[in-house]
Amino acid sequence: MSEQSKLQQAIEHVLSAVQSKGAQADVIASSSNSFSLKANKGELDEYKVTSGQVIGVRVVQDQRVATSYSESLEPESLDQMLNNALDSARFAKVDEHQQISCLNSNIKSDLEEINQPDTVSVDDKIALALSLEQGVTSKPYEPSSPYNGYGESESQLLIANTQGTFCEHKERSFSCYAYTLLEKDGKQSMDGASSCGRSFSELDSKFCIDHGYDLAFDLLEGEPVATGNYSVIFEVDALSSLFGAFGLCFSGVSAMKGVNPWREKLGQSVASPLFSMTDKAYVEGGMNICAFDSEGFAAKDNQLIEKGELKTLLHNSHTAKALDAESTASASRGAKSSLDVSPRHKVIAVGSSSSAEVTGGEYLELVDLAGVHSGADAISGDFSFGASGFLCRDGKRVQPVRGITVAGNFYKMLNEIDAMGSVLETSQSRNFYSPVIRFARLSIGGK
Amino acid sequence: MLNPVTAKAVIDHALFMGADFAELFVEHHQTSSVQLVSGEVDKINSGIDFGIGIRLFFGHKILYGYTNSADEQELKRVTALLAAKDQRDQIASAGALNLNKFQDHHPCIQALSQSTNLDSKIAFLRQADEAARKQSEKIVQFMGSALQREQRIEIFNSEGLHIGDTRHYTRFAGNAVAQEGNEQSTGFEAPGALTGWELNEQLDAKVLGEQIAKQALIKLNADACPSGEMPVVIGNGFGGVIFHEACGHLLETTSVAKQASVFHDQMGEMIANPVVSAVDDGTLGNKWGSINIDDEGMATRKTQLIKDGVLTNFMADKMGALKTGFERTGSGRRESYKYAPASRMRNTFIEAGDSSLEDMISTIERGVYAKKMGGGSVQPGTGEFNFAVQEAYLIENGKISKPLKTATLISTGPKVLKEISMIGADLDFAAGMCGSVSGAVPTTVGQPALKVDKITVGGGN
Repeated sequence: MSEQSKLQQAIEHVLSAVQSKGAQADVIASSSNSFSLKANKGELDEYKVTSGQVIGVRVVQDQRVATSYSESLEPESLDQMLNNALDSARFAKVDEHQQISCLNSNIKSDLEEINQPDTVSVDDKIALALSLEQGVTSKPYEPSSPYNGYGESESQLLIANTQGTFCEHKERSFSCYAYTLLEKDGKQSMDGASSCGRSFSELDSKFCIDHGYDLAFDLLEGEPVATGNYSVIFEVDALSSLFGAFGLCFSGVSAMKGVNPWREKLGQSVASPLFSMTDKAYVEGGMNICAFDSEGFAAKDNQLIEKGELKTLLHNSHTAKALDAESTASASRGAKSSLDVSPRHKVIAVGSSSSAEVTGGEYLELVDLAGVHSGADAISGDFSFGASGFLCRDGKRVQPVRGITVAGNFYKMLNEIDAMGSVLETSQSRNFYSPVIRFARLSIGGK
Repeated sequence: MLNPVTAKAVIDHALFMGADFAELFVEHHQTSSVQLVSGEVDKINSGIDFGIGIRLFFGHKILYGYTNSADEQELKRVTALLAAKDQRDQIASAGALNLNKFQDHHPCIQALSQSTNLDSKIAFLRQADEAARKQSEKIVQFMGSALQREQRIEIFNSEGLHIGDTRHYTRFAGNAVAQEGNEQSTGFEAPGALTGWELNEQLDAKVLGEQIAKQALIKLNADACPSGEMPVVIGNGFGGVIFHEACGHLLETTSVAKQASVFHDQMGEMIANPVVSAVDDGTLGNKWGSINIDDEGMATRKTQLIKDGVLTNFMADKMGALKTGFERTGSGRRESYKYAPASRMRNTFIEAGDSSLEDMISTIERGVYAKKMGGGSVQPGTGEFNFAVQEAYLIENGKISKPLKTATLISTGPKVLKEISMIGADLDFAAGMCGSVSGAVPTTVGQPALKVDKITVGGGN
């Protein structure tokens, strides 16, 4: 029996049992196969082949909701999963807004772009994995590459509910990365880069090798700058992680819980008039493409901020009803988790400033942020991270900078934008897009 | 969970294909979580993970795969897939499987598989919520969760090992939000232990709720933390994250074997101030990071990492020991069957000294008292680390003067270990999750309060 048939059979079993108990439910079932390689000292260090499956149910009974999951698709396990969910639901609050509300949605994510056939041999993939390390170690000053790897994954996702919805999604992805560790005159520096795509041929191993090495080399002699306030430009991946840390401000779920600082700001200014941002369902080459959200609604583009004004938060059907808003079809739920919201591809609109205007005078270009997961308070907006990059003047890097901290308040920072570049850049993970943005002033801790 | 006859057949198959070593890691993992928001049950989730990880060694190369099936043919299929590129004539033979037994050092009374205890958990969370809100009308939200897990593992390997264990984890987490005008601040605590729901008898929900609320309130309208290099006193308990990040990760053979640790060639050398002695100990009764056996089936132990400033041990898993020649320490850990094990920390802490907190603060003209720390991270190759300060106070003229907002501390491991000049007597521990190559595992951090003479503080001023 094929993977899809097994998943479909399990879904039918669960939905049938749910209905026999007078409840409603949606079910998410997924399976994935992956293959990954790592190299060390000219040989393969790790060779990993995996296959896995999981099914998760969200039940609604008497307006009470609970979730449960199982990695076994055996009928007894599925029955136990469902019984656990129904037992748990008795303890949940009564919530009239959380319902199985997606009716008869039958969407198939059948874009060829995201599910291309893979005919590349394992030998060629091994050669790529070895070349990542070799490419780094063959560079000047005898660097090593302690972290490198190649990975690929094919996955399928099925979403169905007791209201006639059945959606299917299949995708395949490839990735590789290489870090350079450089040691010279008692100083160490490490940096890396990654590449991802929908086919093996899309992977840019040369970029991974060169970009990581060049950064490690350029930052080797880095020193802290003097403590003070600086104008700052974040490299696009650093900016992506910064926006990721403050994703709560776009969340309808957080607003419903009363912890989103923008929950009362719809239609009001939350950022500089230079700033506009959209969550796009589809971007060519994007890595978060799916034709439907985790409830089965058709995915769509959502303008979040337009010229500084907050236009909408991200909603699923639950938050939209609870907050009397229009759903943005941004439901997010894995088989093992509860209903939430998440963006697809965050796109910050380009501005009209030329490169010379954005990079005029003195500023800090920050290429790496450290501790973003722990140094950000998404509710207050306060943040403080370790950082490295370059002190620049008029677009030229004049001094490598390491051992500094960058601190500020995210919500204040969005209102203090000096210039917005006119060329859109893409993050290495291909889910965040932004022009170069110059922030007026952030606090730098250094020497 | 897995028939030993099936396990032996799969191991034999792996050795027949030329593997030097073969291992099966079988895991059945039950979870239950409940979250309270605004005094009401917002989320309830439960689930069962089941899978088998297959690890083969061909020399120093690790081949790893997993499946959700316990079927012999499927396990042999994954094994054959893994070994396909390295297949050679058989060179090792498998020992007969012998079931190893050991004393359970971490007993559990109220196991998840016996009862989810949802009534009791919800009552506990409500009590914490009420206590937090009673602190002030400025507490506008409280979110609490209770998580319980029961992980049953069974390990078979080609050296004849057959061993199993059941680990019971329980953790509470609470987050309070204080608001005044447009300003908001948060407080957070998350105690946990390797035990069942009887943890609730050791924790006082009212006290926890009050502590979390006070943290949020004290930061409301606090001044921005100063920036730059200065002396810092780091509080006990979760303050131990400084050692975890600054040094612990650099002493795992996972990075030592690749020479990706700045300490890889410094065994026996003075790497810290002589006041510093540090330990990684998996044996502490019912501590969050404790285990009976590691995820390679070896009995865990206490490992003295640093003694009086001198590097004395690395933490080594089986492959780390093979690659570096250092003795295994029962530190091979993994999040689940989805990961190959790697050398990881357990309960890691700096041992107590004899200074008092007041003594340390009195030596500082201007600096910061980082009473409560948040998480952090490290880049092993360079030793550069960062960690967040969750609750901080300004020290002026040898005294604590006022509360401060969020800040980050950064430095490098080798540098900060030498800058620790005073260590307190108030050793305490705190629970955390540590992410690395073999996934997220429960670890305890710990330390007495200590003084760092010079470290870079990143605040808003």
